Amino acid sequence: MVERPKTYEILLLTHGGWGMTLKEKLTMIIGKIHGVSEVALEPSDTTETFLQKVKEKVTKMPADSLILTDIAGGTTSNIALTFSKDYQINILSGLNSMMLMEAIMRQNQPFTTESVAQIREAALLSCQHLQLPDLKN
Amino acid sequence: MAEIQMVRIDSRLIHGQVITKWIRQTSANRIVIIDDALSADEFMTGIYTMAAPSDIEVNIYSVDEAAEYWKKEEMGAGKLFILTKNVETIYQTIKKGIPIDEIQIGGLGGGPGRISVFGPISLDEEDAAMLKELEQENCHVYLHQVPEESKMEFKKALERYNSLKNKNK
Repeated sequence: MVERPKTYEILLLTHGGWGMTLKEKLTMIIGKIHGVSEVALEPSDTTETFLQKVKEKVTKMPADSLILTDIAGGTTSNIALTFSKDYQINILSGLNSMMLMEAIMRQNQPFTTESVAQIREAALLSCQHLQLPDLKN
Repeated sequence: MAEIQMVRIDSRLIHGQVITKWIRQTSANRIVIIDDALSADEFMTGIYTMAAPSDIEVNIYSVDEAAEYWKKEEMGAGKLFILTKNVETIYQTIKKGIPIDEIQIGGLGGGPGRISVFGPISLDEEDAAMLKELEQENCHVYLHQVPEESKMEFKKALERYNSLKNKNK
């Protein structure tokens, strides 16, 4: 049996838990995914209950892991930020498919400021206004 | 004199529903969070300041600071979006002299002794009594999570609270 190389954790924090659906459907493009989990922010959650759930997860994550949140300024991001004081984690907001794929591709290395910047770049590049070129005549 | 555009009770304070929806529904350019614990917490203050859109100023005051600021300068200038985590804070704020004539309850999560009355919005005995008193003093109270969805008048929520309370007995 081939041993899987070490993977660094990716934690998704999304409103209602749509991150898990994204992860499941991405296997269609990149195959089996490891080390990606999620804590869903449910409508019934208060800041405190959500914080507890995320805490349980974050305390078990190795240093230099990555948290991807859906909305900058949303509760998912606010809570993630509160852990940046005591834990060595990276946080990137604005989850999209390219962001998650890029993060998964870099999962065999510890996440650093540089690698997070590159993941962000990839996510931004995937967002384009697609238009056909002007055809002359 | 600052102009109060919206007053919302939301246990999550600045979050997705507020920054993507309600702020844009109003023309507020300042968010004022009133919360005793938060006003003394520099770290969390930083996080909520970051959470707001960059063109919106965020101020966090204790109830006493807010009341004092209103008395002296009517909170300066600008259009205010006032946020508190719970009913008690807004009740105290009003009692200390800030003229608030409308309150939106946007989010009050569940907990022991609390009864959900409208989606995830819950009330307990104290909340119900304080809000009832405010309504009798002509403060309009309603429950509304996001603009696209329906809202509920407090009177209706109170009826629901009482009937659910009796059912649980």
